This record gives sequence, structure tokens and C-alpha cells, in this order.
Amino acid sequence: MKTNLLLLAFALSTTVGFAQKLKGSDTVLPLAQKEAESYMKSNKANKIIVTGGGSGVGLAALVDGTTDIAMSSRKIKMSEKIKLQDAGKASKETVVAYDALAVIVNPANKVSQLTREQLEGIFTGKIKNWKEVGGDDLQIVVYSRESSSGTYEFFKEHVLKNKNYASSVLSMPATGAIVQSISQTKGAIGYVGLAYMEKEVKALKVSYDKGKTYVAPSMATAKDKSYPIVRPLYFYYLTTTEKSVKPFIDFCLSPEGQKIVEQVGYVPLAK
Amino acid sequence: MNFKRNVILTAVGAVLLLANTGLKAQEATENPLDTLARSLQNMADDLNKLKRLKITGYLQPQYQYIDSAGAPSVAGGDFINGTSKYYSRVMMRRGRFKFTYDYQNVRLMINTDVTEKGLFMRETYIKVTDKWLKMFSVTAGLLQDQFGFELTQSSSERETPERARYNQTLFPTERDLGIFGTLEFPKTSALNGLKLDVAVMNGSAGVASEFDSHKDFTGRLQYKKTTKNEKVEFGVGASYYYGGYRIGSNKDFKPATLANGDNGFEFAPDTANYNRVARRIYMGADAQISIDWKIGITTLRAEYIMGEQPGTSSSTRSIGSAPTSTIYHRNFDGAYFYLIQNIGQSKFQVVAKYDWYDPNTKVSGKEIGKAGTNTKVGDIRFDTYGFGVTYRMNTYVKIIGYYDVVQNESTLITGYAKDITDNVFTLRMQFKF
Repeated sequence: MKTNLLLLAFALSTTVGFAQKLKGSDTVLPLAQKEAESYMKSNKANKIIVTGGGSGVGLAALVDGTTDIAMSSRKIKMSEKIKLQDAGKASKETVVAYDALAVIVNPANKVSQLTREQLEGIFTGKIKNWKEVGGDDLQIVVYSRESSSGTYEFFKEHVLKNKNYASSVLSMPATGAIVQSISQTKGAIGYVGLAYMEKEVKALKVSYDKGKTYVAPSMATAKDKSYPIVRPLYFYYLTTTEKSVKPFIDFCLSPEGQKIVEQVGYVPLAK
Repeated sequence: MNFKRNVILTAVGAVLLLANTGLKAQEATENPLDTLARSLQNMADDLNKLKRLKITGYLQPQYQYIDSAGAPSVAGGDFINGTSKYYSRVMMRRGRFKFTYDYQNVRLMINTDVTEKGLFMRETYIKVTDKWLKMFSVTAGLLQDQFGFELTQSSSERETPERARYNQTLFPTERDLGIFGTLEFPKTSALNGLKLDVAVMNGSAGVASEFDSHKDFTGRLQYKKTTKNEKVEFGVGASYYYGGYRIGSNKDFKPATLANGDNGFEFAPDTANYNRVARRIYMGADAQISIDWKIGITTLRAEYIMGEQPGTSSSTRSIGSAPTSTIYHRNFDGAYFYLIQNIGQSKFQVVAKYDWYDPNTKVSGKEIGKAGTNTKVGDIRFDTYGFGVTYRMNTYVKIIGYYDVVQNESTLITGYAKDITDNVFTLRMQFKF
């Protein structure tokens, strides 16, 4: 038994040792996994291993050389750029897809649209009851991702205009947990990537022009840029490994790769 | 009789057979996947325990030469008097080995320095962070002085071989024994980016136990932010030090304008001086900005410090043992300016630095050494201009070539009538792990 375990460990380490490694954002993870699967089907000699851990984890792995591609749902930070330079490394950035963030509520909630200002008021704690925004007399229960998440940061920057979340906001470690909580709580509100939308929750239309026009999140509105809460998803890699990672990245950017983007629920790059 | 014996023997045999079968069944039913899962869990538990201990560090072997043998220097210590005109040396400037053990919200740290001079303790402390808000922490032991930006920056990250002269003089070991508290606002707070460090220290420069029972207070308030596009990062800080040490001698000199109009020192022979506190009061402000643009990341840093420093006739260096000689009270100031330029995304970086330290702002130039003023070598101002290039080979290794142009003011003191020849060239390799 011990011998078998050792052989298994050796086989795994051999596989990992020669495989291309992607590490980082949990938002990008399902997309990267599907892309890797398709790529390996038509390039049988190649092995690609994809792991999550968060955008920060992926970029730190790029600095210390334990990943070939860092997946990120946010731009690389200044401090990470300085660390890369201090390590004598130069990086490149590629946008592989876009992610539309849907603001979701319980299906029983009669509110179906909100302005950005109303969303800001809700998530910063200024608006506490649904009746203030045309709904029932019901306390608003706000869900968010944890502060280490790229999705958390993007929502704070683009929807809350960098104002702080209310201290009463409930932090959830994963998107799935947000969907489940909102589906079970009538007064709940939160945000998830379009790829994670389920029928147990309802997506709100959002207005960024103070109520003149409201747009629902969908692949079409994200593609034509009429839906405003859309963010790029990145791959970061080193210039020294560009030759080895380019074939996979080019596959992700190809029509076949972009079709996979749409299938997974993310928004493909404009043609 | 035989029948009864046979029945008993058969019954015993059946019991033994069933028991054996039961045992064999237990051994045979364990699922190999369960065994694998258990083994992996054990390995994961062991690995988690090992991951609590981290060993990091860096080595800095270097070659240096100075313009004149025997010249005093703050570029890693004075050069020993030799016979040739240009004196050079090879040394292990720093050999740091840091052991950090983290368990939940507690950290134990031991930081050693191993060079040709021996093994020295740099830091030994326990740090406890609050579990709930993760905003507060308390650290106790032998720890780094908390003042300004350059003093708190790791020597492995600093772009120049040495800190500014005033930092090396006022904080010679950069360490002290004491307790310090930190308040750092988390990401979710409106005050995110703001950090406050306060400390109560022995004030004995960390080289010895407390020698006068007088405690020093130090604090730094800093704010750091990055722009939304991650192209600009900036920080500002303000620092304060209030401390001192008991005067062992019954003599001290205070700065004064003398009867003849000269600036100098006035001797205060009051026997009540003995065991009074000679004040160390420092106030500082610092600022940093890094910009990521077409030519590469550019960083500008500046820091200014002023205050009161007690010293001897020949030095204003902070002391690590009880003073017994005459104390000179001086008002000082100092500053540095850095320009750091990364060359695009290449492995090269260039740096230019200017720093000054004026240990006595009340006197200057030919006033120093004038008869009757009691001004000495310890009052001479130094200005240093440094230029360097760094090559970052990889994650672990970098090479720095750096040249210091050191200028002192011309005085009436023997040996310091003009600028002494003490420029230093340093070629250093650093391995960091």
C-alpha cells in the first residue's frame, strides 16, 4: 500500500512538473478549466493544470515562479508590479473575456430595477428598507463577497464609487453562497457574475443615468456595452515564458475559445 | 466421555473460527480509498504544522574601496588604517536569517545577523493581533525602531547600500527593547490606508539592557494609497520621538550665543545636572510616490527630521550605555531625497540619492573649532551624494554598484579644514530567500 501511494505521488509530481500551470481568480477558474479541457483535447501532448485561490494568490505565484499564467479578475496592483520588477521579471497582460455583474434579489421581491445611486445607498447602509425604493415594507438584507475578492473590489469601485460597504453587510466566501442565501431570504440583495445566475434568484435592471434608462444584465447587453457593470478578466504571464504560454492564450482568444467563453456564461471579446 | 469432549472441542473450535473470520472480515473490509484519504489527511496535518514555521533571509557580501585609508565612514563602518592610498575591503555586510512561527493570531520572530564579526540578535519578539477586527496588534521584545520611512524599510529592499547618515547616527542599531502597538484600518474601513505605530522603548539602542530606567516614546502615523488605475502609489507619514537618557556626568554643555557674539556651547556646571535627563526629541515627516509610466516605474522619496540630540564632543551617535563624560546638547536636522528609476521593464534600475545631516544647526563652517566656542568634530555637517545601478538577475539575486560622494563642511578643526577624502564605492551582491 505504501509503495502504491509513493508511486501515485511520484506520478502526480511528474505530471505537475511538466504541465502548464494556471493559478488565481476563482471567477476566472471555471472559464479557464473549460478552455484547458478543450485545448488539451486537440493538443494531447499538452497538460494544463488550473487552480483557484484568488487573484492575489495567482499574481503572487507569478512573482515566485510557481505559475505560468496568473488568472485575475482585477488589474495587477502597483505593489505587485514593483514586486515583479524587484524579482527581475517583466509581465504582460491579456484580456480573455468580460464578466457582467448582475445585482440579484429574491424572486418574490417586487422591485425589478434600481439606479446606481439607489444601489450605492443600499450597499452603504443609507437605504435600509425596500419601501424607500418602491418595494414592500421590508428590511433590506445585503450580501457581498469578502474583502479579499476581486469581485468585491470591482463592485465597490464601479457601483459604490469607492464608498465603503455598510458594516451590516453580510460577507460570503463564494458566489454560490450568495445565490443560496438570496434565494432563501425575501429581503435580500447581492451581486454575482452572470455565469452564476440561477432561476432561484432574480436579476435587477440597472440605470446609470439617474433613471432615464434601465438595462437588464444579459449576454447581449454586456456585448453591446449597454449594461454598465462589466469588468475584464485577465491572464498575466512573464515575457520570458511568452513562447510557451502563447499557444494556449491564442486558443482562448480564437473564435473557438471565445465560443467557450459564451458557453460558460462570460462575455466574449468584441470581434 | 469422548462424545462430550468432542462436542466441547467442536464448540471451542467453532468459536475460534468465527472470531478469526470476524477479525479477518474487519481487516478485509477497509476501503483502500479510505486508507488513502486518511494518509493524505495525516500528511496535510503534518504539512500544516510545518507551514507555521518560515525561514527567510538574505546575504550581502560586498567589495568596497574608499579614497583614503583610515577614513571614517558610515558605509558599513570605518575603514581600518592601511598603508596604501586607496583602501579596499571585502565584507559580509549583512547575513540575515529570520525564523517566523505563526499560529492563529500569534507570531514569534527571531532575526539573526551572521557575519565575519559574529552572530548577533537583530530582533526577537512576540506579536499578537486581535482576532476579531484584525486592526490592532501588540509586539513585545527586541524590535525595530518605528520612525520615518527609510528606517523601517528592509535593507534587502532598499535601493542604496546604506541608510542616510542621520538615521545611522540617531538609530545606530535600528532596534530597541520595548513594546509597540499598531493600529491599521482594514480594507472595509473608510480609513483604510491609515496606520498608527506607537512604542515605548528602553532607549538603549537595543545593544544592552536598560541602563537608566528612563523610557522613550516613539510614534508614526502614515497614510498610503494607490490610484484606481494602479498607476500611482503614494504615501505620507509623520513621526515623533520623545526620550533621552540620564546624565551620569555633572557637566553638560548647552547651545548658546556667547558673550562675544559667537555661537557655541555654554558650560552649565550645576551639580543638579547629575542624573537629569538629556533629551532626545525628534520630529519627522516623509513622503513617497511611485508612478508607472512609459519609461518604467519611477519612485521619488523624501524625508526630513529635526530635533534635539545629546552627544559627546566628537559624536552625536545615540548611546547604548550609561554616559559618564560631558554631554553636549545640540539642535540638529537632516533629510534625504531619492530618485529611483526602473529602466522600462528591464532588469536594470538606477538610483540617485542626496542626504544631509547637520548635527548642530546653530553653528556652521568656520564657526566650528573657533576658540572659546567649545565646538568640536561632533558639530560638523555632512552632505552625501550617491549614484548607483542595480541589476536584478532573478527572484533571488541582485547586484548593486554604488558610489557615495561624501562632503563635510570646512571648519577650523584639525583634519577638517576642508573636505576629507572619504568617497566610497560599493559593489554588492545580494541573495534573498
